[in-house]
Amino acid sequence: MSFMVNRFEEGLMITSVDWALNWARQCSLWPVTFGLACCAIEMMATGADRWDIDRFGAGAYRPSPRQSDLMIVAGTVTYKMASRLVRLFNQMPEPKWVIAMGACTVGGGPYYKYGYHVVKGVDLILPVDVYVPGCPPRPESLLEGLLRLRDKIAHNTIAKASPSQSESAA
Amino acid sequence: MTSDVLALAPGVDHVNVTFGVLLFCAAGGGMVLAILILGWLFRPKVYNPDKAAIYECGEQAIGPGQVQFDLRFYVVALVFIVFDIEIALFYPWAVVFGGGGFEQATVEFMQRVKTGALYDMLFFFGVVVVGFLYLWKYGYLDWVRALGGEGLSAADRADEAVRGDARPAAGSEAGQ
Repeated sequence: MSFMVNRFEEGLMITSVDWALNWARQCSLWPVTFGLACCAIEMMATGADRWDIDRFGAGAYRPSPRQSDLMIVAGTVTYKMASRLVRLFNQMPEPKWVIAMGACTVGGGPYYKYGYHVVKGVDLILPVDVYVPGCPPRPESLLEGLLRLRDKIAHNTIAKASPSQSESAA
Repeated sequence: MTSDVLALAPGVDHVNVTFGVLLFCAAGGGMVLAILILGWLFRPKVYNPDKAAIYECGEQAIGPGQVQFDLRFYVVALVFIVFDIEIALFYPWAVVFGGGGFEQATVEFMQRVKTGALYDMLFFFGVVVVGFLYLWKYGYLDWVRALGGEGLSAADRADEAVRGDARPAAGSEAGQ
């Protein structure tokens, strides 16, 4: 990791830097532009003016993973698409987050039992941060997932983890 | 020489101005440097071979990115510029030549303007025509170009070869 991360004890300076970093990161979550299935229609509606995901700084869908922070996996992940998805995720710069949108990405959805071609949950191939259930989830659900992700980012710290903290976190 | 153009506001001398410009440059450079250093301190550095790979929407790229592109497109772009600039410059010239903007001028004045404008445009047109004749003669206006320099004199064929722009030899279908 970087020079400053995991080097100092928690203190006024470190918490201030944490606050600034987390504020900047959670207010400019740029998603990768892609949709795999019908959930993408709801994702597009979330980006349009009625729900307007840009209110939370996540409306700048980037055409390249190299400029993105957030991967909204919107739709059924087939085995054929899985390797492409992982490559796209690997091409994103750190820090990066993943939202699993819809029943298919959460756990296979309607394809769980007989879907010979569907990955039974995108968390088998990507580190998912927030699960948004629904088939497909309404735009409000995706916005809720985004807000939960922002909460998660708000608790990031660059301070050195003390042994007691890491135990309680484990 | 004292001119009003170079005069400064009262109370400001050239030392002040020079110092201000230097301060401006230093602050600008300092801000760039500060942001780069801040980023270096805090950004995560995680290497992954996929990050250096060609972006093809998640597909694995086939072949390198540096491929040879048909040179004919370059010539097409040049031809376009020749004719485009010709048209773009002819229109305003024609308006002025027709008396646009000189409604109050005397007949003698307009006579002088038009004579000068005519020779100016003839010179410009001559330059463009030389380029056009060059393109025409060497077959750049034909998309499918003659093989082996057919229709060219021996001197022209030698000229082509010297310029390194040789066409494919007769009988060779490669690249067509």
